[in-house]
Amino acid sequence: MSLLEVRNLKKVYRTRFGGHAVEALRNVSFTVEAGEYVAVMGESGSGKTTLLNILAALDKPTAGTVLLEGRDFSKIRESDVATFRRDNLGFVFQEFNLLDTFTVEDNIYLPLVLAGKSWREMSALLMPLARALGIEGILKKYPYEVSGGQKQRCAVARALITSPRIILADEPTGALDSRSSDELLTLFSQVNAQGQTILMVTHSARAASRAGRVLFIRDGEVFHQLYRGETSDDLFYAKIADTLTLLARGGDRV
Amino acid sequence: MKKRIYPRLAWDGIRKNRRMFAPFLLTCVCMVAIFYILCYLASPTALALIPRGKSSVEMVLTLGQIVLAVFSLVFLFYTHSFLIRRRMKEFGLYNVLGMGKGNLVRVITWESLITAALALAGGLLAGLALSKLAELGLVNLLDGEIDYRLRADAGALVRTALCYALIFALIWLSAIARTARASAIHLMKADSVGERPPKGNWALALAGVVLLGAAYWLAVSIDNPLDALTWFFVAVLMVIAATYLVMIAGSVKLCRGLQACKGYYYKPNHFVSVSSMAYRMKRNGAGLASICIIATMVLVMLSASTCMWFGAEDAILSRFPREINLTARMNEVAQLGDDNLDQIRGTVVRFASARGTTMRNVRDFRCVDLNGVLEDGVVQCDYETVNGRVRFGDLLEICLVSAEDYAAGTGTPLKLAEGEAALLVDGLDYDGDAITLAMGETARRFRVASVARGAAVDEYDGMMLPRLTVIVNDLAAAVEGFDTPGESGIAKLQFQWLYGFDTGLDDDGNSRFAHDLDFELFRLFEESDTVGFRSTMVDARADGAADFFGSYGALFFIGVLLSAVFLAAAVLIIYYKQVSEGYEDAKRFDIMQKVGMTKPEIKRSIASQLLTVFALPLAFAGLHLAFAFPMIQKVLILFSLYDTALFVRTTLISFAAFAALYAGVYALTSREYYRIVSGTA
Repeated sequence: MSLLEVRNLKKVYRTRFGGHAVEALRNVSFTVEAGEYVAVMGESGSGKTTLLNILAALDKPTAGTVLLEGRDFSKIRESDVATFRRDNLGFVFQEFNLLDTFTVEDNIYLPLVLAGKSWREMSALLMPLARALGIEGILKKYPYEVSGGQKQRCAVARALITSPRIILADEPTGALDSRSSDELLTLFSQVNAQGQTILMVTHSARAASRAGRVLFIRDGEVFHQLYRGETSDDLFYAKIADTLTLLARGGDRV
Repeated sequence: MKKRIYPRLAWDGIRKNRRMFAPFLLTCVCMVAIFYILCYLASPTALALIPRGKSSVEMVLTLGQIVLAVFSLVFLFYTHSFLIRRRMKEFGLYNVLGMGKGNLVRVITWESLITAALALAGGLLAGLALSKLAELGLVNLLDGEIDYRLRADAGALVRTALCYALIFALIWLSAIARTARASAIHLMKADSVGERPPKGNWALALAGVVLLGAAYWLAVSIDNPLDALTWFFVAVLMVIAATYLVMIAGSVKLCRGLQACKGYYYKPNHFVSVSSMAYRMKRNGAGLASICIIATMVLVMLSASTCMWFGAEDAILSRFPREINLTARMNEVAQLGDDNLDQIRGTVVRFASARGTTMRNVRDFRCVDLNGVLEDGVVQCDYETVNGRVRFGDLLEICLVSAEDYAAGTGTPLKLAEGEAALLVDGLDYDGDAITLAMGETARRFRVASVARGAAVDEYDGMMLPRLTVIVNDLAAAVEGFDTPGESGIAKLQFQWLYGFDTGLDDDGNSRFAHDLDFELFRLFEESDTVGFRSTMVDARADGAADFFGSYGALFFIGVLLSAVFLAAAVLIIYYKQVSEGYEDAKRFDIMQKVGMTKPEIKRSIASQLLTVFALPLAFAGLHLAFAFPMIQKVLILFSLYDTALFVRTTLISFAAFAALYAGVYALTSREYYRIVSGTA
């Protein structure tokens, strides 16, 4: 059984008074195996964000199903959705989404506190993680006191600390300079190497080239996918770039 | 750039921010209107309608104007800072898009002009309309003639317009200064820059607690009404400062303390609330302290002024025990003798019967007043000779009354043996078995037959010092040898004869009666060689009552009016606090939801924060009021209001009414907050 299974996902947005309908996702199907590192690419308006919102259980599809370890998202009761999300999914956002009222440490603790863990358990989990991510020195600081790269590493720590089934990353390098981006991508690779499943939405070919597989979405459908296999980062990057060019030209399936 | 674009941009800015602008404008309108009403009521146009007590009404209303003007200035500045903070982002954008600071200043100027024009026009119109209502209220309260003609006073209009134009000009200047100082980036971020996490200053928190304790101690420890009046303002200032310190520094410190307590802090329902409270407490604290102080002001004003109004009747009765009250001051104790008094009494009786008036319920009382310092059972009345300096607070008022008069006046027979005295104490305790009255070297010792609480003479002047009434068999013998003017030439003893009766006449009749009797006695003094007195004074209760109701009615009126203003202000602060925090929190709760906080959890967290923020100022205001109670009660004594039970009642009712209103406002504004937070979440 795949870890994540997405079948015939369709999402139609209607304007408020039901007039004009916009099809954000037409028919999206794919699976993610445990331990995979998948990047989803596409231009703005291709439906990437809609897809991620549905995968994050923040939004409901018009049709189709999403299964996480065989569990159907649509069968989860509304009141349990937040708990489900908290227990199974980890999020990394483009804008970090750290709370400025909390210290870095408390930001990382947030999901655990919500899950009702005691402080002793939480701090036992935090220390090794903070060391691995190189943020032990800034735990007591507030988000506004640290750099963008550090903020994103804190956000990663917050996503990882609950040991989620899958990490959903939405343009995680979007707000970072190139050095911080590289650091973050290296971090993702390391985390993935330890068995963490990651699904990352991006439109940076550089970022996607570090993933194990790249899905291309165009006009609400999976247009193409590329497996890394044994290719090197650079070669994979070139292949991705070619596909993007093709995508941009509006060509047919490769 | 075209000239017309500035007013357009300004108007757009106001229109698009109407959620913030409308309440501000509404407050401006209310304040202008009420200020105009106060000016109008104190103007000659309105004063002409008031039958009595014009001068006290005018004085109280003028005082009210000053208070309102100062409050408007501070408060409008404060609320405008909320507005400008939200507008800064827009200005920043204009700045980035190529508008210079000069252009921005022009936009701000137009905006200020529009605001000021709307506020002044709306306020003056509302003021004109409502002034009639206020006039009816006040005139009716003071038993004047009511008519339904609409009046306006040009002077009042001009004064109001000038006063608020000045306030708006100051606000405009500060907005310009703020914009001029800031850079474009700064302007863009002005809205989103969160306050730095407050460190929580130990010294300030401690200072607040100490100051508050001192103010409370001051309030409860003062037992002299005159001191209460002077220290009241000191205590008020201390409480205001302490409230700000405690709410700003103390609350942060408290949150920090809670955060350090891991077991408490890392719980789902405390985690978010405590941290966001701590973070925003600096501003939150100031807002809460303002609400708390306003609440206290309203409560103090309402409870005291209602107590004054409803207690006025009693106060008048104690000041003027009979419809006609005659006070005669004598030069020496001998003039209190029957021979002398019979001549004056005879004149009064003849005067009354000549007018066909029957004197009923006659009150006839002699007393000797002096001041002294009580020490070890000795009342030294020549207190200038007491060692060291005598503080005013050490002084007693002593009233000597004969047992015969006391028995006749109260209807309770009192038998005193030779050398005995009965004591009445008010504002002091006495438990010695003997008491010595001394004037310098001359001293007279009495055995104390009994001590009771109270005083023999109610309308006794002053009422500010503790009073000791000494009832003796023979007045003249008791003060024999005391009767020497001090070195300063001021008599240390006052020999008074208090004579009063009811006539059954109406107010005007009594008033004329008193006036004519006064004249009659003056003639007696001029023409007779046998009668002797220093001065006489005849008061009709009706005249006194008019003055009383004049000032009390005006005070009551101002109290209610200012309470309304302050209430409106409190409502606005709460509203702005909720809305501006709603915008800040919306993003925060959005994040929390993404990270896995459930909607019920968010709701619970919001509710607990709101409840704290709601309850804190109210609880503090209640505490302030409780401690202020003894002090206000003493101040009320200066206004001849002795009815503690009444004051307790008005205080409790005021508090309950305020709490109910406050809860209503909070419920309404919380809804707005929820709307904003869940709108984005």
